[in-house]
Amino acid sequence: MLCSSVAFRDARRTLTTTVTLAIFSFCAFASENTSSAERVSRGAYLLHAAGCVACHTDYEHGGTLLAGGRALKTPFGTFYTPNITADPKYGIGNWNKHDFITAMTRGVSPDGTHYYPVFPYTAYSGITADDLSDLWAYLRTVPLSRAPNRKHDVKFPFSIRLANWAWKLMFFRPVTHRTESTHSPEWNRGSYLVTALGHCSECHTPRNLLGATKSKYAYAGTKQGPDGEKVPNITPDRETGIGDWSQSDITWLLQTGFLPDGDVVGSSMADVVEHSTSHLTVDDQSAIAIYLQSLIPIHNSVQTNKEAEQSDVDNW
Amino acid sequence: MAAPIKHILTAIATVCTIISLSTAHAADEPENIIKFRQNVMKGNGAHITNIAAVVKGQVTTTANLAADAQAIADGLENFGKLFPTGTEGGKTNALAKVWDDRAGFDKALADAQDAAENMIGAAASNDIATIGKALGALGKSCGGCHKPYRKKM
Ligand code: HEC
Ligand code: HEC
Ligand code: HEC
Repeated sequence: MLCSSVAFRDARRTLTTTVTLAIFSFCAFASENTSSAERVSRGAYLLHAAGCVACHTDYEHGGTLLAGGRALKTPFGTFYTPNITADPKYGIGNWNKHDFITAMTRGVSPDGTHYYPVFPYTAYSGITADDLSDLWAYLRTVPLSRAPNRKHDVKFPFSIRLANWAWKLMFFRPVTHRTESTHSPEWNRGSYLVTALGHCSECHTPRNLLGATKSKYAYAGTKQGPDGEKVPNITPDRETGIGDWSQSDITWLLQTGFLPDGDVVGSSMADVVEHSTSHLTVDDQSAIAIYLQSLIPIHNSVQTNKEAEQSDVDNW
Repeated sequence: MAAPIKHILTAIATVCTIISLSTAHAADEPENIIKFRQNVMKGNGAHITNIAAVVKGQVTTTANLAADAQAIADGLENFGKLFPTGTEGGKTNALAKVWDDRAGFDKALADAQDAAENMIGAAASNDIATIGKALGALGKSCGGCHKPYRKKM
């Protein structure tokens, strides 16, 4: 009864077709006992929250769900995401849960290879053991795909996998997500969604020459994001960030992709909204907004086309 | 000087002034068309924001919904005419692809027009859930043109 009334509210407010999925998992969260069917549905929810779907599915070329093949252009070359369906030959069908958890939290494959940090294990190392188990349970149920993996097209020295080991020595510190008792449960949930699952900083935080995020400028935006896009500052700085957005402006964007001025969000954020944040429950969307609004404001202007237009108007 | 001649001379002078004024500021300069189409788009944004305020429950007056939906449809109706050759350079965020792939651009525009028509129908329903759905679909259609035909931020 409770779940169905929540379901009704969600359906009205999130305006997404896939909202049933979110409700399903919301109800699963509410339940004490986690049967395997519940684990699977929670896993499906987490898969969206963590953005795995958008990276591991080649939507642009009509690719199958999680069959990989999507090209990710970076300053170091082009990476192609692998097939993570349970196909034993082409996917990760002969992995066990331990292999999966090691890949997700330590960035190491079952044969000991070090993954490139484009696979955001730096953020995922903060995903809880329970959530990783649910993700794994869901991955076992996805229809198999026999799409072969494509080799990355990466420049020397990054083409040498051993370089990943060195990179990790320098920059990779697995994180454990701790509850901060000085903050509300909503804030803590938001922090987990943004830093661990949503890996928002992978795009919104500037990187050094070796591609490691500069934690001092967390979420302050960058002119050299993925695919060479400009990524805006999402700290609450009034002038250069989203300090003048209300909490509902933020949740509205996460639900619908609309910006406060009625324009629609573009570039890779349009994918993030479509395949990730619009699938979340209203409570989770609000938690993200609460967390973003609590960040320390950083003054960093990532000039956008619109601003260029604006200053022109001002001169005139 | 006789009054009629004076009037004729004034009339001629006025015509000359109008002609010279209009040649000094030639009409349909590319920069003016670019500004114009950007303002049509800004207007779309403003109407969307108003509809969104109702959907979000921030404003309870539904009286303006029909006008907002109609204005978006009207703006899109003429939007295709605002991309003549010569307006691909300068202070525009339109990509060259608008001119290189005109058929695709027109298709994206037609899709958005359909979504705007659908929005008009939804606005008349006075049912918030229906309006919200139509708004979501309209937003997708805006993005469907921006993604291939507008510069990234
Ligand atoms: C930003 C894009 C991106 C996102 C988001 C992403 N991945 Fe990946 N993933 C990659 C890339 C690229 C690789 C390959 C890395 C390499 O070859 O070093 C990879 C590799 C993997 C592998 C290893 C596959 C193999 O065959 O060795 C697994 C498993 C995996 N990802 C699962 C996930 C899961 C689960 C999620 C969501 C929680 C996820 N990924 C989210 C880009 C992504
Ligand atoms: C794949 C890269 C990527 C990821 C991951 C990502 N973003 Fe974004 N984000 C962008 C880009 C690019 C834009 C600018 C979009 C545009 O051009 O309209 C953006 C825009 C935004 C904006 C609008 C800011 C403004 O001033 O217009 C907000 C808010 C935002 N992102 C929040 C988030 C949150 C919260 C997350 C994590 C759940 C996230 N983003 C994850 C790339 C990303
Ligand atoms: C058929 C293509 C197309 C459709 C449909 C479309 N747009 Fe646009 N939009 C553009 C182009 C191209 C530009 C850049 C114009 C320029 O700079 O010359 C633009 C620019 C904009 C801008 C920025 C204006 C400025 O310069 O400040 C906004 C806001 C906007 N669009 C909103 C919308 C909304 C809202 C919708 C849906 C109701 C929409 N657009 C539908 C093509 C489209």
